[in-house]
Amino acid sequence: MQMLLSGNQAAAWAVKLARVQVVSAYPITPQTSLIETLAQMWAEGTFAGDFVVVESEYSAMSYLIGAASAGARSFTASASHGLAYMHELLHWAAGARLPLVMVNVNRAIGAPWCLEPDQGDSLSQRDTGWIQFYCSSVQEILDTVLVAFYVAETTRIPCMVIYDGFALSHIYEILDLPDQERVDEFLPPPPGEPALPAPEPVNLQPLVTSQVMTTLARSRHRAMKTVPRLLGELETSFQKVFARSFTFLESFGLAQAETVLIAAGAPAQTVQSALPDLNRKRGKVGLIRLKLFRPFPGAELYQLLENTAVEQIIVLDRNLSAGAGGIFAQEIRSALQQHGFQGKVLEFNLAGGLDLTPAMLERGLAYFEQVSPGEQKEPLWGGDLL
Amino acid sequence: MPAPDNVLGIDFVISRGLEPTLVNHTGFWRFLTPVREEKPAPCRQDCPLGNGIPHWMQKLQEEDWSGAWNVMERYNPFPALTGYACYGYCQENCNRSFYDEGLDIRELEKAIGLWKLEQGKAGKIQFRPFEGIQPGVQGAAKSVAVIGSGPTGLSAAYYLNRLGVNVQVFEKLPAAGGLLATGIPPERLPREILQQELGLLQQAGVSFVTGIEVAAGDNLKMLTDSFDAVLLTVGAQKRRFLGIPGERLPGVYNALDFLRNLYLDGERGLIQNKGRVLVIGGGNAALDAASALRRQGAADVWVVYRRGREALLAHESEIRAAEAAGVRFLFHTRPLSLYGESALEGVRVIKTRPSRREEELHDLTGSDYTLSCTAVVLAAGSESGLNDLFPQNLPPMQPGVEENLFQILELPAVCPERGSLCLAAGDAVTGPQNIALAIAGGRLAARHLLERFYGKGYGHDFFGKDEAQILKAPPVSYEQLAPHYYPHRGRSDVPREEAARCFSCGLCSHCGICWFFCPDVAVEKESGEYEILLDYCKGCGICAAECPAGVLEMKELKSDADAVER
Amino acid sequence: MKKTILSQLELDEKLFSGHSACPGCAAVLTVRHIARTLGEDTVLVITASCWSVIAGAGPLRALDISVVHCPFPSGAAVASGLKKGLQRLGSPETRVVLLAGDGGTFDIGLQGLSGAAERNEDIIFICYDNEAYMNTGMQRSSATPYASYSTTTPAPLVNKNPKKDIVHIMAAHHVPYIATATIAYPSDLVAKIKKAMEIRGFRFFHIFSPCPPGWGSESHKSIELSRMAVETRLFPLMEVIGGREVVLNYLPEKYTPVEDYLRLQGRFSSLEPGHVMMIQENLERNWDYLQRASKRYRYEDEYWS
Ligand SMILES: Cc1cc2nc3c(=O)[nH]c(=O)nc-3n(C[C@H](O)[C@H](O)[C@H](O)COP(=O)(O)OP(=O)(O)OC[C@H]3O[C@@H](n4cnc5c(N)ncnc54)[C@H](O)[C@@H]3O)c2cc1C
Ligand SMILES: Cc1ncc(C[n+]2csc(CCOP(=O)(O)OP(=O)(O)O)c2C)c(N)n1
Ligand code: SF4
Ligand code: SF4
Repeated sequence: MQMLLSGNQAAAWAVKLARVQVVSAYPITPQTSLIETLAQMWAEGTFAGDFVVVESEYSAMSYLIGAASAGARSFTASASHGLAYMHELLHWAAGARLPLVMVNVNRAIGAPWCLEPDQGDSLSQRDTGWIQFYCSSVQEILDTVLVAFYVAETTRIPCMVIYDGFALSHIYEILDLPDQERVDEFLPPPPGEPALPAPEPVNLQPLVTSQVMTTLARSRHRAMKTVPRLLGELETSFQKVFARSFTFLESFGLAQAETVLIAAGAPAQTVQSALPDLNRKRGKVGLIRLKLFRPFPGAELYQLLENTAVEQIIVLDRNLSAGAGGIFAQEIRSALQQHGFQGKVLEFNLAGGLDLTPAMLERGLAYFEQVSPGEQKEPLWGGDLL
Repeated sequence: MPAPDNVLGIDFVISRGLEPTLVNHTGFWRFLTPVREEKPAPCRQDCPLGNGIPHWMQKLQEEDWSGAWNVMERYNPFPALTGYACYGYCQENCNRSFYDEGLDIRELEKAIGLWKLEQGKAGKIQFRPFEGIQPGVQGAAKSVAVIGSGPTGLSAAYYLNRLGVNVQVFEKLPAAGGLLATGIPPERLPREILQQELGLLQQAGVSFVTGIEVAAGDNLKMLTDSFDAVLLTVGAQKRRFLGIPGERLPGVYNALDFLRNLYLDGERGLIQNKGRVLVIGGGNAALDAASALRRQGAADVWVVYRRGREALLAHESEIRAAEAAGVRFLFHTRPLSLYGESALEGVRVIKTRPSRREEELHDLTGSDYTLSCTAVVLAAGSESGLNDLFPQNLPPMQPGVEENLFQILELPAVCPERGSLCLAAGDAVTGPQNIALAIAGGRLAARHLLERFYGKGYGHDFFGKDEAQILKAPPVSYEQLAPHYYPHRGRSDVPREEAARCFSCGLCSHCGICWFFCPDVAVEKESGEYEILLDYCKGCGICAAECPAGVLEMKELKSDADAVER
Repeated sequence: MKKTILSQLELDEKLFSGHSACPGCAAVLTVRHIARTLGEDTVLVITASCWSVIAGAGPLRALDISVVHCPFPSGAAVASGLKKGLQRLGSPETRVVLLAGDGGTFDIGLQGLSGAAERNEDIIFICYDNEAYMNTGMQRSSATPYASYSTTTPAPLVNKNPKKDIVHIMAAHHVPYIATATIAYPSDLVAKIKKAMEIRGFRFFHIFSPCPPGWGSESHKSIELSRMAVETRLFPLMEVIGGREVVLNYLPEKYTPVEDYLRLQGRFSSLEPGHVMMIQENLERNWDYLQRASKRYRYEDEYWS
């Protein structure tokens, strides 16, 4: 069914279609309309799960930790300060291997107050042990939430679905809304036994030694590492059920490209639509859309580039690790170097949630043509291009 | 351990504890170890019988009357007698009195006694022979002659008979019972109670010969010849005089004689006396005689005593009874002589300086005066009946066994020939005392004889563990107890309720407090007893601090092996 | 007395020996009996506290009922979520009970606690109050009494703030059931737990819990201190029903002076006479208030003996 929905509404629909049992949430711009949509569905009786509004994001995540311990399919959504407030629990959920799914709508973290879609909030949670997806369209938001449940429940690693505030959360697009049977076919009830109630009394998540902790860490790492393979396998089943594709790494115009832009989230969509024009004006520009950030698909990324003429990679970061640079750039640089990529990895930074316009993009590319090989002292600040 | 779970083919390990912490032997943290140590309750220590009061209280709480009687019997075969007539020494320092109100122990004892009489009459309890007699040691049947049927004699007879000895009791008076029949007022000890006890004894096989006075010499020799042992329980009723002029005048009576005649024969001559009667002395006999006179109708009865009220030898309850009966007192006054022409007319007395009992007495010179009266009752104390029996010279005596105050004497010279035994016990040995001590003396004599007959340890099964050591320790003080779990509540008329007020001082009552309050689950109930699991006890001391009975104590031990109950 | 203590024997033991609580810890003793009373079909959620350690490390477990640990401030919400999850997944009868220290209740856990209470979540929240952060070594919390030493309020300054009145905070949430208890009054404790088990919705327990190493008291005095806290009226045994009906469960016959209680504890060793007076006065005021506020007193023999 075709439907006009905003990004937040799409996420809410996905939650409903996934037959989520427990939702616990707390409002924050720009996530608010997501939970309001769910609340409305709940009030109307179309959403059959429990919708519990708690007194903080901290409690929202805590609540889900409890619910998921009993095996309930659980969901929450937040953004920015709300996500930061959950931080401790994100670690806990991952350590306890609870298959939670949450949406984070990117928004800058203060001070000062700022509502723009900086990715720093979700990237600050990079090492909490959650899988991270970055979406670039409303359709993708819906699809990714469904996939996220599948992946989380299969790997028992919690999963965060991320998209840009306003740029995606509040943008209406026409999407293909799958019917319930198709979703049910794709997403069966969670496999495995819940931790509680246990058949025999158990002491769950007790105090342990470093030896135990290291075993657990390694196990989580290994499970994380299976995610790209799992997503690869999923492509077919997803295609079969929904008659469209789901990929975690998407490329455009790589065959001819010498310069490749790598971006995640809404900026990638901007680049994608600007690509024909850019190629016409500047020539030989390609795009890689990074959809999966944790686990980082380094090998898969390198494979895309391996037999191409790409010499220059420009990473679009709408985030900043002050003193180091854009976070995507760091990761991409280190992964590609590890695999023997010879070209340059340059940084184009939109920290603060700057909106990327085709004009800025063009000016940026012009700038990068001037950069002497290998030497970029500072990222190119998007702000300088306004 | 993290539990691997690879059902999904994906590494999945979470951390869960499944194994009980019992593998941690936290006992090695311990510095002090709880040790269970039975201690004497104040009531037991104060009771001349060393009566195992808390032991039978525990049975009574559960309304286990026969259990209570079984315990009681080991200490006191005549709880009805003491229940009525003992002065209740046990109640004087009951720890419960610091909390709300001391226990009415004697009332409960009486209840057990009455239960026993009832059951005995109905033939529901047997008194002989004790089933627990150790087979093999018993040997040939033995026989004992008991001379004197006061409480000492009755108690000895009871126990000997109960443990398989043939007993014959000889009593010079026509009625058995000693002072129980002839001294203690029937208001205190109803005579039918005494009769019932005597009846049960006879029923159990003890034979009584009354109206026969055993005399020293041939008479006694005959007995030592025909019995394996002779037990002299002749009491301490030999008259003592003041040693002043006029004591033999008509109108001068002896208190014990007066009471005996009153109680046995209904002799009321003295009572009809319309004038003033002076009772001289300050002991039980004096006070009882004075009270009896008043109660029987004598108009003007005075107790003349050389010291003050606080120095009276009689038990406080007797003094109160006398006061209530209208007896009047003349304290700090001592008779110098009794005078009269052909019969008594009066007494010359002198005032004395107030003094305590252990101090020397001083007259106040020049304070003498004359008291006119129509009769005097002398109650100047009495002497051991042994002095009556052997008026010339007492045979050599050696102390037998001595447990606190209860003592017995051996008189080896009385029967040297056959190696048979002659023992004395009760008032005859201790001088005038009380029923409880008399019963204890009888019990001790019986145990002594049994061991002499059948060897050491005989009768142990019946009497239970030797508690002499326990009774020597200082009594449990209120501070040692933790009575908090007893609701504040005064005395109750319901025996079960009243017994449930007993703190069980010094004796484990299986209340379970130690088990309940152990934070380490290191107290376990094993075959009815609470055991400390030393593998886990961290030695916090809560069990000892909270033990309501003060039985647990924290001790520094060299090894766990020392921790077995002492 | 005997009857009530021994009737406890019928309940299965739910705590194993060999746990790692300090000698004389009242918290472990209290939970021992609470767990026995709650029985099998219970999940205990434990926030960061001494009990995180007591419950057993590594492959071990000290309790014979299921336990799930959770971060320090998260208890009330984790427990609420767990209850919801159990309800949805076919175990609606399984009881969810949260165990938190005073830190996890009065301080860092207060927000979550308030939220869960306001939502009237169907859980039992048990705060064992040892009056400081003990797991981390005796730092003050807002449950630490006035004039107490702690490592973060060292002498001569000591703690200058009065203890937070958590019962009234909870009462203001109008939850179905609130009770205070201590192990020194075992029948009361057990009766209240049983009563709470019959009630649906949010139930809150404030349990007084002496801690020998933290309080500088002798390990065998833990019960006595609990008793004295009640007999001084420093810690009244009470219930608040529906947030509005206050029931004082126990009126001491004789009031123990608070000084007797304070003297037994090292944490009050730098107490001055002025402090004692203030503590006593404060307590009298509080008692006064409670007596006026309470509609009825319960003093039933059966309940107390
Ligand atoms: C007036 C009075 C009141 C008392 N009231 C109490 C009281 O209320 N409570 C209490 O605990 N104590 C009381 N006592 C003390 C108590 O009665 C005695 O301590 C106790 O009876 C001593 O017991 P016994 O068997 O040793 O001697 P006794 O009771 O004196 O018995 C000795 C018996 O031996 C008999 N006898 C003596 N010589 C011979 C012989 N040669 N041949 C045969 N028989 C002989 C005597 O006739 C007597 O029957 C009282 C004493 C008196 C005097
Ligand atoms: C967010 C957070 N801050 C601090 C800690 C460290 N911490 C663990 S337990 C604890 C104190 C717990 O105190 P309380 O709740 O009173 O329980 P107790 O240890 O006294 O039993 C602290 C501060 C933590 N685990 N989490
Ligand atoms: S309370 Fe019981 S054991 Fe203690 S002194 Fe009184 S009667 Fe004896
Ligand atoms: S520190 Fe205190 S509360 Fe913690 S285990 Fe030890 S005694 Fe118990």
